[in-house]
Amino acid sequence: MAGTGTAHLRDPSTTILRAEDLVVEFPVGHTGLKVHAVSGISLDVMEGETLGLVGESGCGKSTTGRALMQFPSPTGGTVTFEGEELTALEGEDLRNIRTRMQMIFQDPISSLNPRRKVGDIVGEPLAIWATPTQEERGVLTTVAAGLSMLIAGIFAIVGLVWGVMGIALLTGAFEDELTFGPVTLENAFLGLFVGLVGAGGVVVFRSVALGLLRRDAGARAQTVSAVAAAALFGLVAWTVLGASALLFLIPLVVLPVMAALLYNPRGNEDFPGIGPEGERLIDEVLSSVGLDPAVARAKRPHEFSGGQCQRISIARALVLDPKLIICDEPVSALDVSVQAQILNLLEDMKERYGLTLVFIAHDLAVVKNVSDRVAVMYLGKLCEVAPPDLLYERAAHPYTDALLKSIPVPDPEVRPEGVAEKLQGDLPSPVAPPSGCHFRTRCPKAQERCAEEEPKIRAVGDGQFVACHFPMVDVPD
Amino acid sequence: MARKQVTLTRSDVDAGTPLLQVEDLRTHFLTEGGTVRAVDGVSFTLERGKTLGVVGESGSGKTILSRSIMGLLPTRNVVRTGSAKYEGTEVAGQSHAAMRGLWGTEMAMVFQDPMTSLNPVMKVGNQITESLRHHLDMDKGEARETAIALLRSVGIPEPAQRVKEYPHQLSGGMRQRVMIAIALACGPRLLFADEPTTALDVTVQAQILDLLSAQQTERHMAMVLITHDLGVVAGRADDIAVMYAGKIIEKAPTGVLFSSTRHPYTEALLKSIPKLEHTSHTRLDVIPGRPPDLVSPPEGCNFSPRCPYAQPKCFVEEPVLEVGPGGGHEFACHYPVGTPEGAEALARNEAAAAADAGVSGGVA
Amino acid sequence: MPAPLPDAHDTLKAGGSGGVITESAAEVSIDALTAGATDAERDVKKLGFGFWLAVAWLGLLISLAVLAPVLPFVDDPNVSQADALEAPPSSEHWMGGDDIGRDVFARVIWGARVSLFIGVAAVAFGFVIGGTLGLTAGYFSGRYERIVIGAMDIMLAFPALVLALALVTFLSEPGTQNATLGTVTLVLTILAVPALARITRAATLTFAQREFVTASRALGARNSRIISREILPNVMPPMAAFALIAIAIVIVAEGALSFLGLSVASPTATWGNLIEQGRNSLDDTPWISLFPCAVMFLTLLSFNYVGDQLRRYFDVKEINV
Repeated sequence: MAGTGTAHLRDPSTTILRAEDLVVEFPVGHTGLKVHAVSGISLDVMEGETLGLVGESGCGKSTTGRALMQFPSPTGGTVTFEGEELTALEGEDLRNIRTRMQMIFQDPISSLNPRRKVGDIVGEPLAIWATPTQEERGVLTTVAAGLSMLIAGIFAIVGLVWGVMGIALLTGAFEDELTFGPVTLENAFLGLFVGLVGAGGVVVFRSVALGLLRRDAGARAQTVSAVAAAALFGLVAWTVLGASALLFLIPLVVLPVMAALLYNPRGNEDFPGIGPEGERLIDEVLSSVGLDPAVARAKRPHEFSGGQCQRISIARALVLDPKLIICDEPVSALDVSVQAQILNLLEDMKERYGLTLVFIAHDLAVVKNVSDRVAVMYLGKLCEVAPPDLLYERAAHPYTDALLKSIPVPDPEVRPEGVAEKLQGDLPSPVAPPSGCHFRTRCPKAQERCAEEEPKIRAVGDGQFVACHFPMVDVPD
Repeated sequence: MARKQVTLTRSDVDAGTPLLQVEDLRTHFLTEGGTVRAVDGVSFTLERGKTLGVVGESGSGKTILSRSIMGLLPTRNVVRTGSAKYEGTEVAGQSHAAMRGLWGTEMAMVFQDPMTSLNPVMKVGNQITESLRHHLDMDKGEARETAIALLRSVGIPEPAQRVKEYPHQLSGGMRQRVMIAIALACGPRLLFADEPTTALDVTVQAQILDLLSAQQTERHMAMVLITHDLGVVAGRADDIAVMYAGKIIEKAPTGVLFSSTRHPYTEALLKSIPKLEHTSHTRLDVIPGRPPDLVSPPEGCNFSPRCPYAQPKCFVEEPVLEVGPGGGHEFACHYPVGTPEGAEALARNEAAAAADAGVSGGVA
Repeated sequence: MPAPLPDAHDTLKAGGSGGVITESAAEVSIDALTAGATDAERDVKKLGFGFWLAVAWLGLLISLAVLAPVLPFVDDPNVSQADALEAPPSSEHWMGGDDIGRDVFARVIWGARVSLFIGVAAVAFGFVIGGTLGLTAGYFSGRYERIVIGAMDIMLAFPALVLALALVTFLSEPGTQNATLGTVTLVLTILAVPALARITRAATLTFAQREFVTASRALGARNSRIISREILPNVMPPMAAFALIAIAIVIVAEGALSFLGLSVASPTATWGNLIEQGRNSLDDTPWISLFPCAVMFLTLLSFNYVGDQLRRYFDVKEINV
């Protein structure tokens, strides 16, 4: 597969992310055809740099972003992150790099689980990586936790046995006997009920106790409902069992509460886990994206606007303190004025947390504003790589030039140019891209050579690189 | 179709009547949460052959405005007041049945998302001929010929082939062209283009906008171009109306709007757009906060909570859309940009902020 | 009354010029002015009077059914009482007596036990099996999904009643079609599984494609965590609401089966049995059939209504304006 080339890549020791000859292909149903989403892209990013990846729909920029994250692994090519070859990683190893590479998505509302509270959403990374060791738990906690789960198990089994025996009796498996030991047709229902509720109750009480540790609105609701459930259960248990019901209070309530109170997972050395330190981190990250944690944590995503949801997504990405964040069209779905807020926010976060960004978008003005280096893509190939100001001053690739000219400028003095100068025709299908240079079918400068030979990317000076046989600037020899 | 339809009193209309005259149009939606004042007192006129650009962000009411005028809103739980006169005939508040006579033949709309605005199970050709046969009583053959000619005129290659295809077989740009062909099929004199290029790529965007301009000139058609992108209207509209929270807050000929912006919102909007000419990493001027709740908008000026020029008067008294000195440029602001009062107000606010910052040792 | 007017300074402080916006400060000043409908208010078609009425009916029925053995006013359903022989409704026998003197009210209540048990059990087990299949099929997709859906389709292809008939005959005592409670529950569970699997899969699919699932994976979550923390909480509410409707459907199915004599055999009281018994004497003693019919109707209506209202209630919460 002919790729665009790697002339624009820098010394590997200076870059933290390097992708070479990325190829991503998807099969089309069962027809045997393939969608060539990405056909041989090479990119690199230096630490602290923002790489802007721009192109229109269908050019493969989003697919490139996901391939960098191994979502899924690309069909071909390599991705090296901080010296590690990502495409070769699998399973746990791949999972471990997730803490250092994060992603922000286009649709702010769809990126957040509508049923969870914002505090939980932002704290999720900490919860995922909270892996306390045995020593940290403490003996008493382990015993209490174990006992409570054991009791829950016993309840569940008892309930199940009662239920199954009850059904067996009903189905006449015991030749119309109506009792089997303590199980009678009458108490089959109740036995099942008590068993299941008992088991469930233990679990509920335990999570309530954990909730008490958090002391937020959700925990209060949980506590109230659990107390109500406890009262109901107590009533039923007392009706059925009389005073001996009190015996059951111990395993049902006391043990789980103890276990939860004593349980404080502290996470591994890298991450604070979900204890008080984790809570502090969540608060900090929420306020750094401009949201008041006291107000925001208990709310759900649908109570926020698009811009605020995007802030929450950014906060979630920042919690694990990653090195690299890939932003997949983060502002495309937002209003103009909110766009500006989020772009400024990204710049601030980059500075504050020492991030490296890959910014993917279709709006060249937006990309130009945030990037240190811009790569232009078309139909799965790289056209041009250059510093943003230089790209604007003298675009080397005809596609970049056409793109720049097509962008509507909010200045009435700048008359939009005539139809003839604009790009004609439509995007070719990625299933059967044109031979040679993919852009040749719409390029005003296309010649025979463009159909036969794919242009390789080469330097045109000052950090600008172009993949074109007939670029619009002079190529130094 | 012997239905009671709106008939145009064309014979009574003299040449001076504007094509579209909207006065104090209000569209309120009755919801469980209260009355949403989506369009709250909009007035403007549009002459034949001219283009009015309506610019606003989401929640500004620009889409509801166009649908209100065309009469495309549901009838339940919608309160419409005010007047919209098309060629001197009142069209605001008419029923769907009454408006059917005007749709397609007099006024038409091009919608935002070509993927969902075309019927996916109907051939493209049939979607065009349907309109032709209904309104203009053409027979099958004639309608088909006209459809092919229409597709050619909107720049679709091989139109005879395309009429037999389904929407999913066409690209986004082509689908939008088909939409335009459908809208223009019966020769309307007023076209509402509701974010016609937002869902399209930038290179296709330019083609579509050029097409709309060309068709407009050819047919001497008036167009209302609705968008959130100031760049789109900058080159193509004669007049621009900027909407915020259901009201027009500034209205001027295009050149004037950009060169002498009067309303702080317009100014802030212009400043918050990243521009190609800026060097990279230019800090964008943002508009703080969010658009107001349309159920109970703030007292006084809708924009006052976010306005850097705001003074106490702004929170109490709502500014009226008035023509400024020099004529032609309307804006609704007590302390407009570029006037001595405005500059004073801004300076006063900035000094107060600096004093605060000095006292508290930094902004929170 | 309107909140005190904020100072122009407040708004400027909130905005700043070029600094990071502390949206909370801006929000405070804006909220003070707008003080409009909160999201919660705007949100929901509240669960109205009809909903609570239906819940009350179901609560009443379930309590009566569960407590039937110990309630003093519920007679033994299988004992013939002389004064109840074809007796019309009276203060002694609230729903009258049937053709051999059994109290109809008692039989209706005991019949409710059977119907409710079968309805709840079949749906519960159906969900455990079918729901798991559907959830995993929707999440993992690929070949596994195709196999599951294929199997479900095959099961759905059988005409339900024919399948029920065959299963009941196969599972009962040889030579009879006397089913037991367990058999009927099993048969209805089998019939319920494919439909529940398909619905759960459909619900899962809508969420599995959403970006928050990808985001969770990007954070390093394992599949088990994604399913339990991200997908299940979203799928559960609509499924729970649908479960109520499913219970109604199963009760109808059981009623049909017992009307045809394929369910739990007489003399055990089931609603279908009761209706069938009274079928021939509708002219003389209509109450024998009509009361079970009425109770069944109200119960099904309540289940359907409550299920539907809950489904709408849960749907709305998700939508962002």
